[in-house]
Amino acid sequence: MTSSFHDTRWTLVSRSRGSDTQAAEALSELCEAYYAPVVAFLRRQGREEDGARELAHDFFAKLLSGGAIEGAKPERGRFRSYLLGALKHFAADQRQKFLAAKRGGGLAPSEMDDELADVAVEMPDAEFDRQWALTLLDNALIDLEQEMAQEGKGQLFSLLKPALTGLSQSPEQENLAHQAGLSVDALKMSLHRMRKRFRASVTRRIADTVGSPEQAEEELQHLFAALRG
Amino acid sequence: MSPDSLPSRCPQCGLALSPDTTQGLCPACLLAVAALPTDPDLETQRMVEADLPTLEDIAAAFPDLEILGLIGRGGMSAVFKARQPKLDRIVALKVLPKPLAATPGFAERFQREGRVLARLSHPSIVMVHDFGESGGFAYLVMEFVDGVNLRQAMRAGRFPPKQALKIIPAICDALQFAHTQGVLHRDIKPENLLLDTSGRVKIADFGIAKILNEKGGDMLLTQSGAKLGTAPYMAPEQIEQPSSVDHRADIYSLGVVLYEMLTGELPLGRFAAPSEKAQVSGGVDDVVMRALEKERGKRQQSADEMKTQIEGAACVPSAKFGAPSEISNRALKLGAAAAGAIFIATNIFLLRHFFQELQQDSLNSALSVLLLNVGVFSLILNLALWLGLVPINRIYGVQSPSTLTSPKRWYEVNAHFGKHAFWWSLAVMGAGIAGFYQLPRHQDAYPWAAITLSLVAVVASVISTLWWMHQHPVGKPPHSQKRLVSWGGQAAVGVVIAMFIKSFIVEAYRIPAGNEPGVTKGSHWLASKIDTGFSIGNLVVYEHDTGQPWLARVERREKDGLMLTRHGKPETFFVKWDKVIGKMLFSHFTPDAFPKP
Repeated sequence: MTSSFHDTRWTLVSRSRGSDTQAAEALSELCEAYYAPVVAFLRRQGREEDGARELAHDFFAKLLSGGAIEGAKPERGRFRSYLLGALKHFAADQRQKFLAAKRGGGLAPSEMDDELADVAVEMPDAEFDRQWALTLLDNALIDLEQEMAQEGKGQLFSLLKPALTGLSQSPEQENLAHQAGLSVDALKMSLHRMRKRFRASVTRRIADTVGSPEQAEEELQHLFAALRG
Repeated sequence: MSPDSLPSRCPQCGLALSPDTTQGLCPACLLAVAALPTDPDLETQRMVEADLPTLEDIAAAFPDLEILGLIGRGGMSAVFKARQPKLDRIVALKVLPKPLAATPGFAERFQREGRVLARLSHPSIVMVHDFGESGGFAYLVMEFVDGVNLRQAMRAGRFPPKQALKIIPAICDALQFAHTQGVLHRDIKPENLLLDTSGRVKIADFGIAKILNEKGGDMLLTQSGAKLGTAPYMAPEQIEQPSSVDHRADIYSLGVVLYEMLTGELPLGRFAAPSEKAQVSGGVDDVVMRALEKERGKRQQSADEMKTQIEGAACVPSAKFGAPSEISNRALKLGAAAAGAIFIATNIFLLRHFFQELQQDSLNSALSVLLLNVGVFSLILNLALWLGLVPINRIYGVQSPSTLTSPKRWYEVNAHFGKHAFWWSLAVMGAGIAGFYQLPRHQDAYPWAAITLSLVAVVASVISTLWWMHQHPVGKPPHSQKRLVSWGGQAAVGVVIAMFIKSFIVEAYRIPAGNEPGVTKGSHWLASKIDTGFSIGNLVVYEHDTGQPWLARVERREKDGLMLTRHGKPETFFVKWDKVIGKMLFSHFTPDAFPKP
């Protein structure tokens, strides 16, 4: 894990500040993977599903076209924090434009609008992080599924998937082993291997979005906390 | 298991689930799986809901016990309430997961550790009655504690600091006991501290961590989500080098528990001192912060030490100090009454004596009375300090930031100061009495000598106390006293006392020349300065007009001085009192001191 830290997607993006093609590609991949939390955040801010998706689309379009989003700098911190910061600024910006247009004049928005816009910030943040963790786990599971499918173990994956989070009761374990055509011991071993691969997948996914192994550990703890609410 | 049949809550961690996330699996458990280290042996030891034996399983495995119900389960074990029909007692049956019992080396370890635990008999430690393996389960039969654990108690309502501080000493006692037996707990946390219905605290699961894994803390990290749960209670070295843990890891854990009890929070990151969050004194801060030192060398070095400190700190009222009336106690009042009574009695006696019997030099008499009063007062006040009768307060005793930190410190410092000042007070009293009776011959010098003595008394006591405090820093072992310094101090005191004696009590002379009958020329002798009982024929030394001490015999006593004779001649001469140095106590002749003619 440590050695792979030199060339994760996020370090690539933050080092080049998004200017070269390789970095742009990496950013694009990252954004694609974390589309869901962005939509969740925008929805939490009180937007309709369609509006949220549309805005998320605009957001990513601006981000990927290299358009600077004020107040968000890629060179510091994690991808999650960066994305959330950029998103907040983008959303606030959009809101002001929208409100100004609604009032029908080139009037500057009043102070109060700013305050109102900030009130709901805490909750969308938590939702963003929670959704982030879920997306990350989803992606890691999909990685695992694809890997195993490629090895021709797709069926084993779907069989063992429910047991991934814990050992089943003895009769069910035997039942499972029987279904998979394995002995109980072999089943346990397969489960263990599967967990190990899942773990590696999660670790890789997290490493992709942070700058150092220490941050990866912190990120894991943070996501755990976000999930538990 | 299809998504439809999933319960709405995760059976393992209780998290609310929705079927459309993470393919129907519990995300928290998934992430916990991802957070596990990749050690296959340890992983199989995990006990989850699915592994939990049912009541029927247990009842079948333990025919001698009447299983009454499940009390609780931790990451690694399940605890049942059971009855031993033969003994008619309720016990707690702790069952370890079956896969664990099958681990190589477990049986020997269990045997070895179990024996040690069964010997651990202490009122604040949950007793292990029996242990072994039955029906494939490794089990421990333990004392049943009717009550709640500290976690439950904390959830029910925040602990008032007073109660929190009250239960810590008992825990320290138990830890100290176990540590001296060579047993570490290794997993002190609120869940393992039980409070019975009468409010007594008992430590559960002593050394279980070791049974579960030889490597000590290692296994805790392997439990599902446990790293995120128990880690805050673990000492840094327990996480980094589990094999090196010693009893000081338990002290760290207890520090975390205490911090949590006081503040309701865990001491994570840069955390606030307890006194910022709760009504406790700075002394409690010191104890907690020391227990939480990252380096174990800086922590309390024994549970006993922590107990003493916490008891000391707990006695200090939180709002620093209130009005003196708050700290009054009977000893203080009694002492004040006694001092007042003695003061009045002394003065009545002295004043009567003064006016009726003696006609004395007014300044010296007044000074001597004052000195005597000061001496008596100081004697009583300092005796009280010395004997530890004065509780910590803001007006009486040695006031310094360090003495106010804990009663223990207060009593130690004040006992030291009181002892010194007590002896000095005796000297001051003595000087007062001597002055009152006009014992010193040099009455002119008396006021200066009296003032000097009083100042020396105060300065000596203060310096000695400051030095002692310097030598005994708070919360650290005392510096070893340098012998030279110790001797130097004693020598200085000796010199002061010798000078005092020389000025007021006795003085040594050598008579260079003189042929007074009975005194050899060139002999050394000692004159008493306080003896007023001059009788006829006594040898006295007086100051001659030349300034030298001369010898003479008393012929007659006058009101203003003595009539003396020399060389046995009949003619007498008068010497005023202030020229009379003193009466000879004894003389000593050294033949070699003078060359023979």
